[in-house]
Parts: sequence; C-alpha cells; structure tokens
Amino acid sequence: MIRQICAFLRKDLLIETSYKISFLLGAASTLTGMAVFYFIDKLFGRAITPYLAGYGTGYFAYVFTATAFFGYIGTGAGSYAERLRAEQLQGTLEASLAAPVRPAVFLTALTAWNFLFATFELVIYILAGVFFFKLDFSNANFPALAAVFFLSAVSFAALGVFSSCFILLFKRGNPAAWVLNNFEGLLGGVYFPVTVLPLWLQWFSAFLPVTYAIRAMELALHRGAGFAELRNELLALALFALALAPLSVAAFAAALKKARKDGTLGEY
Amino acid sequence: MRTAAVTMPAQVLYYSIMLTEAFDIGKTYPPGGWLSLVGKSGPGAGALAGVNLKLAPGSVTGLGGPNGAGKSTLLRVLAGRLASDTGHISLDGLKTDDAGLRSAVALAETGARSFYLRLTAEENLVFFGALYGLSRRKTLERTETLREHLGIKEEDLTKRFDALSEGAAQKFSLARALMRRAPVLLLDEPARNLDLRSSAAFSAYIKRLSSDEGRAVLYTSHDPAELARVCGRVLIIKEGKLTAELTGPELKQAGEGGAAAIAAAVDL
Repeated sequence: MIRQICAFLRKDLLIETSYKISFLLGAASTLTGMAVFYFIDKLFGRAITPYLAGYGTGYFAYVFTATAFFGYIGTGAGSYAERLRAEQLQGTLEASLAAPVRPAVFLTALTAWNFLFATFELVIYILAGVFFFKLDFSNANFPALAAVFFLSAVSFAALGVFSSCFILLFKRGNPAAWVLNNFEGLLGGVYFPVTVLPLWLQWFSAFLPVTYAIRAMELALHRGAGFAELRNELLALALFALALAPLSVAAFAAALKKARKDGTLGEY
Repeated sequence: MRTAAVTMPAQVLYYSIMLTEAFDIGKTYPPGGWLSLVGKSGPGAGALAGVNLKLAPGSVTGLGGPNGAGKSTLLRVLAGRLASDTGHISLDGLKTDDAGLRSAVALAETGARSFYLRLTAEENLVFFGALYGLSRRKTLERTETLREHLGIKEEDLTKRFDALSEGAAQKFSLARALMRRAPVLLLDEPARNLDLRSSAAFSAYIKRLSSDEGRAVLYTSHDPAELARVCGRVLIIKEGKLTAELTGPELKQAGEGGAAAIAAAVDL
C-alpha cells in the first residue's frame, strides 16, 4: 500500500514539476489571494466586527485562517474528481486500475500529491500569517485544532469521493462538485461568519460540514476553545465523518464496478 | 497441472502455473444514456456470445478473426478489466472474480495512451511496477532483461513517452505486461508497429517464455502467418463466437499452408 501511494506521489511530482511555470505560479498565488482580503479588511473590516465578537478576532485574521483551512480541507472535496478526470483524459485510468489495488488505497494514492501540496500551502499561509501579516496565534488550542482538522479532512474527503463517482460514471458534469464549489464558500462561513446570513440561509448552512469545521477551527485558533466548548461542532463533524467515509468508498467501489461492467473505464 | 513447485527449476518457482478456463462468456455493451445506469435501456452491442476457452500452461494460443469479432473484448474479460454478463472464469479449477484475474493475468494492449506522456519510459515502468508491488530496483532489473529480448534501445528508456516512436511505445507496452511475470499473458496484436527484426525476436521470446517457464499465452493478430509461426493452436472468433480451432497438423503445414488454413477459417 505504501509503495503504491509513494508511486503516485512520485509520478505526480514529476508531472507537476514538468510544468515549471505552472508549479511556481501555483505556489505564488497562495499569497496574492491573501493580499486582497488584507485590503478588504482595511476598507470594510469594521463593518463586520460585531459579527466576529464571539471569535475574539478581526475580519482579516478570520478570513485569512478560514481561507487557509478551507483551502486544505477543500483539497479533499475537489481533488478526487479532478485527479480522476485527469487520469481519464490521459488514458491512464484503466491501466492504473488494472493493477490489484483496492479502491480505498487507489483513492488515497490518487490524491496524495494534492494533500501534500495543500500542506505545503498551509505552511506558507502560517508563515506569512505570523511573519508578514503579524497575526497572533498565541491563544490557539492545538489539540482541539488537530481534532477539527482531522474530522474535517475526513468529512470533506468523503464528499470528494462521492463527487468522483460522477466522474467515473458520467465523465463530465459533476453535480456534487457544483454544489461544493458554489455553496460551501457562501453558506459555510469561509469568507464571513454565517451569522451575517439571513436566518433561512443559516438554516441551510447547518447541513454543511464546512459550517461546523470553520466555526470550530476559528474558535480553537483565535479563542483557544477546547474540546468541551467545541463538543457540538466536533460531534457534528464526527457524525459527518463516520457516516460519509465508509459510504463514499462503497459508492466509489460500486461506480467502479459499474464502469467495468459497461466497459467505460477507458472512456473520457 | 496445478502448481509446479516440485518439478520446475528454482528460477521458475516464482511463477504459479495456471490453467485458465472460460465458460460461456457473454458480453453485450450497453447502449449508453441515463437509463443504462439503472439497467433499463434498449439492446446494446453484442460482443461475446457464449465463449468457452481453455488456456493451458506452457502453450501459446492464437486468436484470429475479423475486426469487431470480439478478440479485444475477450482479452479484456479474461484480464479482469471488463466484467462479463454471463459465464465465469476459473484459474486452476477455482472460479475467480475480476480482482483475482487482475492479479494473475497480464494484458498488453497496443497504443501509447495508457502511459503518462510527460514521464520518461523508465519512470512509467517504475510507476506501473510499483502498482504491482515491484520495487524500483526489481523493475529496473526486469526492464534490463526485457530490453534485450524486446530490442528496446537504451536511450529510449530516458526519453519522454511522447517522444517515442510508435514501435518503441509498443515495446514498452509489452515490457509493462511482461515485467509482472504473471502466469497468464494476454497479448493483443503485440507485433503491431514492430519492425520485422523486433517482431521475429519477440515471437521467439514468447515461445520461450511459454515452453521454458510454463506461461499460458493468448496471442491475437490479424496476420495469419504470424499466428501460424508463433502459436501451437489458433482459435477463430467471429461475431462473438469461437467458430474454428486449428491445431498442430493444420498449422504446421509446409510453406504458407498454416497461414492459408487460418486465413480460410477467418473468411469462412
């Protein structure tokens, strides 16, 4: 299993670095996006301050950490479908799946590079936050933060695996990715706390794991909230993770079986 | 013969000799569309209609037939890449599923699209080797051995895959299947794109693999002379059914007799 994951990692590193400019620009764009929020904070930061009172921080620190966090866990939501589609277009999907690799191992290997790069981006975010934007993370509760990260990453990875099933079966047109891309950021509190939203939209946001993930992360990071204070959010995330993870792998295995039955694994 | 652990020379013990039997294999490709996802659609394209087949260890069986007769579909079913609608396949007398077939059977298909075009040929082999559990060192050792038998130029190993000639790409496709040392080897038009010298060397190598190492080989080609030269038995498939079997005396007729017999069987 480790050998197969390492093989995918090495292969993706070689392919990504073969597009040299793209690789460098990808790394640089991590920071330019943040500059936008820095100036938005300068302009409108005070207007949103009342909504952030519970988090013990200002708008820029909120959106900076939410974006960094969402960028990381969002990797799970987006990368399965993206990598699967890339393999389809290259014509290598069927050849890779011809090897005796279990679906769960294949899925892990397929996106290992994306998670590694997302970790690299997260480190850049943290370094830039501390040394460039002078953000204060001294209140952070790291054990609680680690639990939030883990449960959020599993929940989002499961959503991403569901999303990849559509790619496996329909090739193009991915309603799961459409929902994730268009509603998670809007309703989940990534760019502003959900309390800014009208009540009926806040009701919808309660059904999204990102809402609990962002809130728990912000509270653990800025206010040092611990397990007791975050128990509702952690419980919601744990339920999402426990329910979605096995279901998503089973759905992928079923989609794979269907594609093998129809002979469409090599199609794009 | 089930296994040859007692009688085979030590260097051959790695291979598990396998008798492959296919019983009543039928396959119809679904017509596509939304309804096919729930199994409610019109008639599809029939590809195989009750194929029964036995591949004995230590034999090279040829498979000839016109375009669209079902040769590639049959190979893909035997390799566990495509699920059949009816029938089953057994290895050494034990009914096996697609995953079991993917472990025991190696399939070499034509076409470079199943490789990562931005990686070198060697990087591709190392990647696919790892998916089959081979270490980098083992893959490179086996590649070196195969390089001699397949006539692969040393400099081609370090060329990007999209810079290879079609013939060189075909040799690497064969190398990818052969390096697994699977007991059952399925070769779909393996000599296509090979020059005469490479083709002759490859034919000799396949016969040796079969006779010396006990591999069961199924070999497809549109060239009757090639089938007569390489195979000890040739099956003809038409419209998804095996319609003729040519064995020793018919195939080994003097001069072009064997090839003529195959051509006549295909045209019947």
